[in-house]
Amino acid sequence: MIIESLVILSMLVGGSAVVRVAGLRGWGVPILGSVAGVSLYISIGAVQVLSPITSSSILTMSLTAGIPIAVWLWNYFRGRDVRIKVLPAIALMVGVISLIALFRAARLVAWSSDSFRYLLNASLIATDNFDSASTALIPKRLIGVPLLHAPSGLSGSYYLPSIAPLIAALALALIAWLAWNGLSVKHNKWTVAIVTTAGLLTLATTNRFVFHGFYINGHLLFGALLLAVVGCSWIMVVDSRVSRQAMLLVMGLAIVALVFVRAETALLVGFALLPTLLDRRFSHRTKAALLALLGVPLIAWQSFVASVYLEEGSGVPLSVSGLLAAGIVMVAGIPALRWKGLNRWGQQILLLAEIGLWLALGMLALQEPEVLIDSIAATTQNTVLGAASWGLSLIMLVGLTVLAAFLKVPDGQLLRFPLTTFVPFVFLLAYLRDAAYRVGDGDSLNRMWIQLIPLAVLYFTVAIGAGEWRLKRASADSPTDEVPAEAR
Amino acid sequence: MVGNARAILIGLALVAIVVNVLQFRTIEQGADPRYAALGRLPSPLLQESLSESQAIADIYSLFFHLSEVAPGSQLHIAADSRFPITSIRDNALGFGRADSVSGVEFDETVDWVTQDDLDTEVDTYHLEGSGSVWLPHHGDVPWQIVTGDCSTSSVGNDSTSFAVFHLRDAGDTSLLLIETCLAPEGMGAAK
Repeated sequence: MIIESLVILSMLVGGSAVVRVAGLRGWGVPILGSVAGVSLYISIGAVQVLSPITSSSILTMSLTAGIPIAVWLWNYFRGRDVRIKVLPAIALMVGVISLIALFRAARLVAWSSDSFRYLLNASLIATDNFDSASTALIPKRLIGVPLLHAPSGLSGSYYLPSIAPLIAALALALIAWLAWNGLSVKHNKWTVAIVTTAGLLTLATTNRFVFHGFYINGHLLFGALLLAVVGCSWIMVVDSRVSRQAMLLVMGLAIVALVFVRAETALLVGFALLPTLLDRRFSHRTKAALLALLGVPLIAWQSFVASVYLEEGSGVPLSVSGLLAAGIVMVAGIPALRWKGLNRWGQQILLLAEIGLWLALGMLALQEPEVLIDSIAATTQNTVLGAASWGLSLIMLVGLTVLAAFLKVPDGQLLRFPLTTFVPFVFLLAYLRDAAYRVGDGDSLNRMWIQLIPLAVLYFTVAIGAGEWRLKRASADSPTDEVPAEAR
Repeated sequence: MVGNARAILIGLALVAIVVNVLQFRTIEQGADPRYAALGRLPSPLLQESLSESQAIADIYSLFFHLSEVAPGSQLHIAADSRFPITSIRDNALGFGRADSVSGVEFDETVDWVTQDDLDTEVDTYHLEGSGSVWLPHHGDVPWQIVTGDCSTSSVGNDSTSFAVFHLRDAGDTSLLLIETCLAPEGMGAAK
């Protein structure tokens, strides 16, 4: 309990300090701060694992809290306004510790064989033995989730029961903050409150969301961090009141952390970032930094994985060398971001990228149709016919998201593109892993849906809040819930 | 017509919320217990939940057991072992809480021992545990952890050292983790 509280608080306090210094205020500080804290913790842990220094969780915790606090103190004593409200901060910490106690007592944990592999990596990190881990563990389970559970080794345990539910709570809080800020620019607070509550309840009552809220795995962590990356990019564009510096900081940290959470991150996050990289409202320097923060850790991680394969005397598989090449292409492609055509032809490039994914899927399907046919059949069984515990939830979530696409969402493309590219992408993944998806709760795709669902919920929540059909003429708008710019 | 679109979508979201709540219990009842949204562990110790999945228990129970009887142990495995060293090393260093797992040169002639060898060459020993472990390329393999009253090490001491051998009886192969001070003559390379 003490170790678990210290780990969580190190992330909450460290992350909050760093986003506060970056200029964020209000209730966004603990929410975005927690995203920054989790990401910082994973990033620091990754440096420890990839370098000869110890992978001790005590060091990870100390640096996660210590560096931001030092930066905060330095700014505070230099006279910058980085003050925090002490009483709410203490109340929040007490609340978090109470939740940790509650989750520990509840013993609500979902697990599968994958969970044990993640926890095995966590044990190897905890005992400073990760350099002995084999290729049976490293390429697929990575270190993001293991790093979060590794401190349990300090108390002789193998996992921290509150990590997964707190990440689920963070995903909900992040949706609430993004929707509230994004919508309150133009709409009155009651409308925003009702719409946001509806969106949050739609997600929170979904059985598989609750499952992932207690599941020892990285799917929901990925979902929350991806939501942060895409959501922060979107909120910067639609709400000029938020601190751009803080949003970019959260985005950057989340991108780095994502590299160490799931193997498919490079491609999925790469596509999610594409609308931002093609948007003229982001500076070249920002775009270059974001791409570098994806490419450099990717090169570092895949090089490490490749070295483990070589040490074992086996060849480096295409999945590793391909991702290493992707990282190199990202970094090498940074100068190309200066090309003005990227801004001018941004829409066309996005369209081409999406068409390209479908074409690639089509070509592979022509060569080997069984994989796609079997995958679609299994996915239908899982998501429509009730074989994998979704009930009607996924159909309803997809339905709401598709309907939302007919509504005007301010700068909706930033939110929509990662959603629409996900479908061809996951079926392409079936070809990359050379196996069709299967029927049942344990199917990979069945669990991967939750990686996109928080973003989908934000998308349709914002669409409902905007509440305007795309095809309606602007002159037909009702001004009743518009908030004048002066009153914002 | 801002109100219409919003009202329709909020109405649909409310329908989704109600359906989610109504179907929650049914989904829970139909799900595999491990994939239930509100599945409760029998105890705070994760390893005790292994009884819910024999397949997963077969992979890890040996190593959880090792962590209980000899945390911080050192394992010495024949370098040419026909058992997969990397798999044993991953699990022993992780869940087994072993301090080290090393490959050592064993005499080929004594790499394989039988239960009779053990009974005749070792005066007294304690069977600390036995079971079955699933190993890559081998499937389920029986295992035994054997310790003795060694002067230099004892069970529970951080320096407990085991030699890992193949124990063969009537054609069946077992994995034998024997405290190195008990290892029969000729197996001294592991000591």
